[in-house]
Amino acid sequence: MRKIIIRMFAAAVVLAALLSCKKDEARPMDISGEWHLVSSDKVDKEEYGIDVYVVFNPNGRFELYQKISEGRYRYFSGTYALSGSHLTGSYSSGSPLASEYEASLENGGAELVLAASSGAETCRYVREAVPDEVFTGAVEFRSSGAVTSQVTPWL
Amino acid sequence: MKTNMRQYSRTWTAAGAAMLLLAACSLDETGMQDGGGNATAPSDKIICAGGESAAGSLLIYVDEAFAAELASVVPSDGSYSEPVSELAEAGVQGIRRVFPGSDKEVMTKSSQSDYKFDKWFKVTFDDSGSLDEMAGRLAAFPQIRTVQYNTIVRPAVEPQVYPYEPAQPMTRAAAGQGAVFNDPALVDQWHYSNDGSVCRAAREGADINVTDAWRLTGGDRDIIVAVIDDGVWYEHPDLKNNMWVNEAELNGQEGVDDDGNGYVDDIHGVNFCHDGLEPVRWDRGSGHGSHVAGTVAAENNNGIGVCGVAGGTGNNDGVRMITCQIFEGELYADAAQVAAAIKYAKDKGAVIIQGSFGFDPGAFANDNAFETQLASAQADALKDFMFNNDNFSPYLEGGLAIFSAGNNYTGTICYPGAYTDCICVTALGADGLPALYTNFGYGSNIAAPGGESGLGGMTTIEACVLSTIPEGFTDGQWETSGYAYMQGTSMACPHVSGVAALGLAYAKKLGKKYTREEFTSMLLTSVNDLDGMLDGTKLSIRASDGALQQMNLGAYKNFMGTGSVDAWRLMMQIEGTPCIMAAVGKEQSIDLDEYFGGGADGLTYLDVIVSEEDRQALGLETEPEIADGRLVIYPTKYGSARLTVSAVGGGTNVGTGNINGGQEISKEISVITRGVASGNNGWL
Repeated sequence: MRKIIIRMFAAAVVLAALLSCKKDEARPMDISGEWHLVSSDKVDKEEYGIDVYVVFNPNGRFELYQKISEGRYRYFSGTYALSGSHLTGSYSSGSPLASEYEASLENGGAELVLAASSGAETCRYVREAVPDEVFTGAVEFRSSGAVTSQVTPWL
Repeated sequence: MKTNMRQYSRTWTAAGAAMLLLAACSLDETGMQDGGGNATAPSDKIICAGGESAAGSLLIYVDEAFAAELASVVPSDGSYSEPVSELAEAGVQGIRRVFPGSDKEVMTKSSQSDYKFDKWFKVTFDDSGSLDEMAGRLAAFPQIRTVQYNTIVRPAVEPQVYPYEPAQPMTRAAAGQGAVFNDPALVDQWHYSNDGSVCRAAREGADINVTDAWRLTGGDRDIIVAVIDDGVWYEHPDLKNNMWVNEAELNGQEGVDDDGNGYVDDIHGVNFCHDGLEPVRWDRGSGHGSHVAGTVAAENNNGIGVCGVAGGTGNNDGVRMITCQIFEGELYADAAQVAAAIKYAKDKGAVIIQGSFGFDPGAFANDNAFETQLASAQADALKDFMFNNDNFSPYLEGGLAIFSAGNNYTGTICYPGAYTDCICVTALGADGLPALYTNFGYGSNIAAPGGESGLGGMTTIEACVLSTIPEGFTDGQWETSGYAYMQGTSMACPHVSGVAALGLAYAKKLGKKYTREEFTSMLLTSVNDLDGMLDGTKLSIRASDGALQQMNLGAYKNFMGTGSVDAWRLMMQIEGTPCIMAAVGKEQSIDLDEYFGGGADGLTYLDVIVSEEDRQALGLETEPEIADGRLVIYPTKYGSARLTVSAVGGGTNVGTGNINGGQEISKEISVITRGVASGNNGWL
């Protein structure tokens, strides 16, 4: 009898877990917010002076503020789509993203992990607002002319 | 203290100086090297014959021994003296130095060996005699290496001046809310920030994109730009605070050469039309020099008039300008005077020569001809300015010589702009497309707004370039309140000079140091795409006769330079260009826009160089190359490396002594490899 009760309890736990998972899968992952790159498993961001902020807007647009070694932050934008945990998208210029990604939220949604679908690189981000000086000073390059994303203060 | 403002007659003349026209000369090359002259036939020593030359004078280049002999009798200060006996016997009546003060200046060893200014003399004789005969007599002297006809320069076109009639009063309040500076006429300077409203065919963004650049820097007092042109009205309210001042002369004795440079009272510059013996005159021409100067550095944020590209921020921080006058109404400088103006500019601290003039297109077959046949004195002075100039050291090693392409509606650009090492500027209208009048062709380096009144087939004066001009100018045609519209490659050129000056100012601010070649490469790649727009046709009206013209834009492709100059892009290059990111394990092509400008796809690339060490660092098993303007690379290892990519700075071939072409531009590109990478260098 005891065994039966234990088995029933275990079955209930498994069922609950399965139902719970099913419920999670049905709810789209929400990665909207402002994220700051913490690490890449392939590039030492400190060594190369890499700093990246990604903003995923709820409307399917993303904005990217990145500094790669030299110069001020560069601004990119584009659109993204999340199907379950599968992230795809493209830049406004028409270029596809560097990869398709598998997204996951960790630490109660405080961290975002984007793993290239090919397994080639995994980057970890934390929720962090884009600093004002980055936001206002970033520059966007277009063939028709380089423009600041915001009006910058007198320097 | 001397007065720096003299009373002049108000006999204004209409003749202007948009371009110099030097008649074509064609002669054999002549040896300019000491020691080899004895083998040169006298007739082979004569250069620049056949053109329109000054009567009663010739230029001679002598050997070292003769130079020493002449130095004992020819004053250093540029004044004339009696000739030595052997020259007198040949009919020479007077002799002076082409470059005053050249005998006592301290030159570097390389300068002494390359540019022997102390060996150039100007001889005068009875102007009723035959120039050819005198040239022949002088060429027979074994100690005279070269006899150069003293070619005079003339304006090729009559510049049209359109007085400015502001829609609003020229007051501080008129600048409006949100303006970068409070100069009221800035709103009409579409060439700085073009909202596309100046005329129907205008295009938003067809400008030099300087507004945001001004938030980083407005100039620097240590940067001196020499405006080689007609005289600049240095008392113009919008120019006077940005004029260079020769303190030794200002605080010296009137009528005395206080600084001992051969020019008396050269407080703001020299009138080379009179060898410095007359003061600078701005009141005998169209005001062309004052207009050009205003574009370079009219004072910004002073509550009056217009803005200049490098005119400061209102905190006494604009660049300074020297006026080197080579036109005066219908009096035009000769070859010796133009050469002396260039040298004077360097001697007085200029790091940029702004030359909105040029010789007749086609007058020089190539650089070799320019250097050795037609204008060797000028070529020597130019090379000295560009290659032996430490006036803005350590931020720039060398000097920049920036010239207009010419306004002859033709596919051949003018020297000296066509000289490979000079920067040659073509002109765009308010639509960002080639202006009807602009010259274009091999050797063009970069384009800038020059204005175009007939843009779109309708006359719109406001589509010309707005700048400063002598106040009260009247000659029966025009009367201005100190501001006017003009158009031409003459107006495009100072935009590039101003942007270059801004770039140098920002380099100093950030402590960045460049060679002349590095900075030129940055300037010529701080552009927006132009070739990509050169398809189809455009309409314009020829200003000279009102004829409607349809331009075939395809004819301009590859012949306007690397693109349209963009001040903000230059600032960004000076701040630093990001590393390029490439993915390990796959071949990919990467955008080079940030390194080679908006027209990177259409440039002609020459080479990609990577050291063995860098090759190993990225595990490159195939050679990186450029295809369709993009870097194609296949790294197999994680790491970083530097590549050097070179391209043609304007056109499809690099200029050589025999063939006109663009400058070689070269960029170092840092590459970091990672697991994934996008083609546009975005991280995600």
